[in-house]
Amino acid sequence: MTTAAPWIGFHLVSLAAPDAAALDAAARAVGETFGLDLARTAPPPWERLVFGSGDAPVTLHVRRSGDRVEYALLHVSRERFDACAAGAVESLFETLCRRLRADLARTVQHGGWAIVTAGEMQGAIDAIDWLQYLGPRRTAWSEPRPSGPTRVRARVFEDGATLVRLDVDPFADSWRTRVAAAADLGIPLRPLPEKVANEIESETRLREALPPEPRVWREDEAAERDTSRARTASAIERGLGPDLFGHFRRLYVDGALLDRFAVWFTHYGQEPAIAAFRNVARVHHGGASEPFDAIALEGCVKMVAWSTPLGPLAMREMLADHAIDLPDLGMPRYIRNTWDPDIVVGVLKLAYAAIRHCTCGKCGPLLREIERLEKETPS
Amino acid sequence: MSGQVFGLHGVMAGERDIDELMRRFDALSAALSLDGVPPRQRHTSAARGVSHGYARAGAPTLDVLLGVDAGQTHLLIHEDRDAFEPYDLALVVEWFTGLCDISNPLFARAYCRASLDGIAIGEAEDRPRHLTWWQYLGPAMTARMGHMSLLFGPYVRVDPRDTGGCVVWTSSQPTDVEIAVPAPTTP
Repeated sequence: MTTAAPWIGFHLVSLAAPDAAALDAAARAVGETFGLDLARTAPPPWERLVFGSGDAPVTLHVRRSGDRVEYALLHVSRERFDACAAGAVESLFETLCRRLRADLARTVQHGGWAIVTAGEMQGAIDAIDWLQYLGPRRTAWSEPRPSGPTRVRARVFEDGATLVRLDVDPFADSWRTRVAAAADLGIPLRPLPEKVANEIESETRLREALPPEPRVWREDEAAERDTSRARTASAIERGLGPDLFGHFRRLYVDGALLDRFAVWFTHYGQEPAIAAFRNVARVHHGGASEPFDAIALEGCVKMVAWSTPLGPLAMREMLADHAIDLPDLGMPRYIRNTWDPDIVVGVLKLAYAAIRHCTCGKCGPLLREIERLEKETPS
Repeated sequence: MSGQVFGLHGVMAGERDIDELMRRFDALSAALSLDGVPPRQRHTSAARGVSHGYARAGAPTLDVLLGVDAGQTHLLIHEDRDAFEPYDLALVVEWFTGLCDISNPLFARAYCRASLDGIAIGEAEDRPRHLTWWQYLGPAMTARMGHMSLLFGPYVRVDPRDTGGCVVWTSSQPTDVEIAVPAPTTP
């Protein structure tokens, strides 16, 4: 048995009575598009026309049930698609939809996520793929927002039917593009495959958890900008003290970064941010000469800010200091890129556990200091 | 490979004429050059049943059991995996498919397991709870799963049968032991 090669197909649902002449025309169009002869036909219950040969021949299935007829064109492989080009496949899709009088039709990748469902036949459309056709009785989607991130092109026929093309590779998953296009078009999508849904949810939640981008100053706002930056630098200097601030200023106190720090003060809180900056300054005081990138720096801030359930700020500052494991900045970068506060707390708990079981000369006094801070904190 | 079993379990609706079915199984097997031989194990359970043995010259005997139990008719091939080794997989598939074309079970599933992986009670009247490398879905189960969902679904191949049912191949391998994929839910 071989592994299935990826393929795409068409799924059309028509409310019109079956028409032998239309099916003949559709069959001719399929054969001409792919350069294949009609090899055989089969009657119901699996009525179908088979073109060419091999394990996965191009097949047009016809399924009559109740008041509708469904057509499924299967096994358009990448090789077949490339041999006749996207334009020809799109033209075939249009021909089949028009000749077979589809009410709703869509291209569907092997796997079947985008098949036309019974629910869609009765109500709202909830999937999007490379091509979709909305018959004349259907209200066409509104024009996508011009500012939208996706390219959706619609063509309206004289009878009101619409063919909508999403600019994607028909064989690629393109889940993010589908989600973005659906948002543009105002379509509530059916459930995505679980893995994809989890990834997209994680990205969405992270986006929601991250601070906004710093303000972009206009030229005529130079005075306001300089005042804001001076205020931020002054707050950091007060919080770090002269020695540590000296190390910090050398690498981080420049215009654009100060704008970003001001945003972090608002988003994460000024005290946790300054506590994190003290940790960073200590690292450089200890000999690290290369500056942290903005992602790692933000991770250091987030580590202190998001670990409130663990205890007082001073204790979290010490634990976060311990969690920065130079020269690898992977941990703060990881922290910055998670949306889950439990992960941040978990990382600092791990650091605490490491300190408690460590016998080095640095961790012993650190543990005693953390325990003192814990005792001093009212429960 | 001793200790592993390889086989097929099918469940048919109602009490079928098992002698007539077995007669047609004999004809199918003969057409595939599987000679009728005495079965290795006689059917001994209290339920009504009959077993026939088939083999190619010099190869181990494969028993087919047809039995009636609790108002349903069961088709069972259940052998040590080694017994199948001399047989070409294409032949095995053709044989399984032919048996299902003849008996048109509600559901039949091939397996390779450390123990019998039978169809659970109620499964044949509903949907598969899991899929292995090869299964036959009868017409009613095919309709429940949805013809179009099956055709477009995440299977390696769906072979429509004249019975109205279909054979569904997944990406599991015939020799995958203790691995089965959950039946996907379709929109």
